[in-house]
Amino acid sequence: MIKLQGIEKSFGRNHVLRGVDLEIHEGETLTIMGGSGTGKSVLIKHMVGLLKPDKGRIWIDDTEITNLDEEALQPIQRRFGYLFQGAALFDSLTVGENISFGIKNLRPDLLPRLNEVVAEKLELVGLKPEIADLKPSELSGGMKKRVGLARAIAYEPDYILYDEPTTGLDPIMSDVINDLILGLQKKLKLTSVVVTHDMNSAYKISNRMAMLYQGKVVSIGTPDEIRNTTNPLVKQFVTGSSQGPIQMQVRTFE
Amino acid sequence: MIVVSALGRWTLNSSEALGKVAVMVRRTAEAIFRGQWVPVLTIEQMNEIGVASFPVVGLTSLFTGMVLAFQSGFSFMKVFNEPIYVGSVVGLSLVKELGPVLTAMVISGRVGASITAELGTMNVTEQLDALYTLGTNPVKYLAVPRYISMMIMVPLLTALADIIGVTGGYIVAAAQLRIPGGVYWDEVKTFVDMGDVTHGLIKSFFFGLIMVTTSCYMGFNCSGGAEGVGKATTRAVVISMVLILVGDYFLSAILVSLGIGG
Repeated sequence: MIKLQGIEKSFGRNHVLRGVDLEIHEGETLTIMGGSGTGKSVLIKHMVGLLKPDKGRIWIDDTEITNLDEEALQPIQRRFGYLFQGAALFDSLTVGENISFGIKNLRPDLLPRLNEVVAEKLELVGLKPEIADLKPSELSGGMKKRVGLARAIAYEPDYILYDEPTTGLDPIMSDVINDLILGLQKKLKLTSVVVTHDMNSAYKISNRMAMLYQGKVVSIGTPDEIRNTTNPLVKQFVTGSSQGPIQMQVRTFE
Repeated sequence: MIVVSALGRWTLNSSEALGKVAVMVRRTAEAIFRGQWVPVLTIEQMNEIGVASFPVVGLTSLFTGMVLAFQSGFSFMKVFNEPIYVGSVVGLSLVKELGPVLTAMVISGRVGASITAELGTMNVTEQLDALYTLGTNPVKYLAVPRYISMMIMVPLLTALADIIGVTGGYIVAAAQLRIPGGVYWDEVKTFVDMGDVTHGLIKSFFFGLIMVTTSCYMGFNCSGGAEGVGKATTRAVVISMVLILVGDYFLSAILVSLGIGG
């Protein structure tokens, strides 16, 4: 269980999060949606300790991690896998070295069968073990995301955080990634948090969906509840309309 | 009012930057003293910083020694009718000043820029965050090998630059100024002692620290995509060079007051 209470975060004068309350239950997939720049990625970075809140408290199961230092945070961090927006693969390492990186640090007990685990994880994300010797620069966008996913699940975490897993991919590859997320959910029974503004993806993979607007969670519910919502903010967002209470900053060229 | 506000903002930003630098240096020092560094990465960096920089450092110092001998030799010929003290001018200038400073400048442009660009790219593509989530502190994994390598390789390259530069001076002295080899080397040995060599090498050690601290800090704290990385890289090189030149005066003054190379 991940619990966030009254999370506030500012960067300079930019007050990004203004009191987020959210609870993610064991084994569920919760999607956080919201417009660009609303603080979705900032929010999930708080869950794994990459960012510290200015105000508010965070619990992972029964442990409060709000003010834990780096050393005390390590046992918590090893329970999280993180798929970054651009995959964030290490350029200087091969695919195999990228996947084994977390295993070496977080799961030394898997080291005796390292190559086997790397091949297994690559197969789990639908890639051939032969690509283990390639460098990230030799991979396509979709393959990078899959390798990022293989790296995130390599050390068998309990929680997985997906930061815009389908952004920048074509519709078919997006659906492949959605199926992968669903498949991993079934096979590994992970608790997942997905940040996205891809509504097709959100409806397909979520148990619950939460909408972030102006630094707060303004609505939370099942995909059906969100689809049939009467909340004008959520309705405008899920239908993708430019008309409504959400006013985007649009620069016009005259 | 605007001036006061700008001054206040500058003071706050500078204090924040200094604080971040202090935290980074403290973490790096702790990791080094606790032995928390990866030997393979450190050797890789030593190769990149030291071995790969040697040709350009060697070439620069060779021609610096040659031009020093050429200029001093012909100037002394005008004044004294013969090229005296060429060995002492070349030796002292190179060992105490030009060797450390020019080596640092070359490494700052070649290695410092590449450190900022590499760490900055890792930063803006979230690879530094990825390191954290995979149980690795970026300071220990990335900064420590670079610190160790800079602290060892910059003085080593400076020592080689000194030798190559003085040899370059000898080539010009012998070939163009017709100074007998024995006379040139005697002048070098008479005027340059171990204190002068130590003076130069201590300064080069601190120049290495200045360069690696500036480059790592700029890389770890840059933002704004490719443009931000470019700007951070330029700033890292410019700040390093300015700090080296300013620091050179103060380090020289301190070392001379301590009787090292006075």
